[in-house]
Amino acid sequence: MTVPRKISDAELCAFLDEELPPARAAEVAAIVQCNGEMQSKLKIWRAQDQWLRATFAPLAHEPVPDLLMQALPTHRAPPFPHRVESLPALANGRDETLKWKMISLTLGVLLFATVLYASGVIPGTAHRQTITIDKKMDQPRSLRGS
Amino acid sequence: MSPPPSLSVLLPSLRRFAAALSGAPRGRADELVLRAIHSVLREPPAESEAILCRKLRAQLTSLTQIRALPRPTPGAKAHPWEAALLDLPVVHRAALILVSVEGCSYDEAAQTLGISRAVLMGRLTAARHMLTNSLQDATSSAIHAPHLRLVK
Repeated sequence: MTVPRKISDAELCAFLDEELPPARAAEVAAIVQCNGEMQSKLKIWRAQDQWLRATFAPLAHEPVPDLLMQALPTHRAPPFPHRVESLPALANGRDETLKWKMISLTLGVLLFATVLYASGVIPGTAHRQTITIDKKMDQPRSLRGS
Repeated sequence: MSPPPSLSVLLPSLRRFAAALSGAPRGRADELVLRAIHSVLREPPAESEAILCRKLRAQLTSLTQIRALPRPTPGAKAHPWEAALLDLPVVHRAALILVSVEGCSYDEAAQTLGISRAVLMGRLTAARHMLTNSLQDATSSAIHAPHLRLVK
């Protein structure tokens, strides 16, 4: 005669939730039949499950508020690419936008640098002008020397 | 433009999960759902509706852990389990709600919470014990309460 294995509370929970393999479930059922303590535990846990379901199950049948539906993201890539044919187009669209942003940014920087150069704000350009003036001043002197 | 079809299908059960898990009023629970959706859609697209649902439930669990929402005051006729459920640690509550309310299998619930099946079983058992103890405490306090008197 084989001695039945002990049943832990975790296993009793699994029995309640029908998560045990059929052979073990049959063993547990046989043991529970002769054990008042386990029977009362199962009774309480079943009552808890029934209360949980009775309390929260109806929430799933409530209509979803319009505010929530409107607030859902609609412009982003949907979760299942195979369901929406226009997904590559959406991705290309994002790439195009980024490309034009980069081009306009580069042009802006170039324009700004040109304006600075033209107005002599950049120190390098101002220095070059000084050298030119100095050369003109020095020329007669050097001619005089020669 | 309407939201992606899969999200509309998942919304009712997500709202239920958020409300049961957070114990928050509907509006706050819906806010959690919306936050979870936004953060999950930032990730690469889910391969199936089941995976998307699992990701959203996992996100809702971590959001509930991070954001301690104000607990509603239970009414006079509230069941003792209502308060006891909110006293459970979020991960224990999530395990119980996933299995008992959402009807997830142990494997599904464990995957959602990112834990092993054995850990899930441990949490589930602990959660059920805690609820049982709370009811016993409530019953015993209800029995002994009439005998208490305020002594000055």
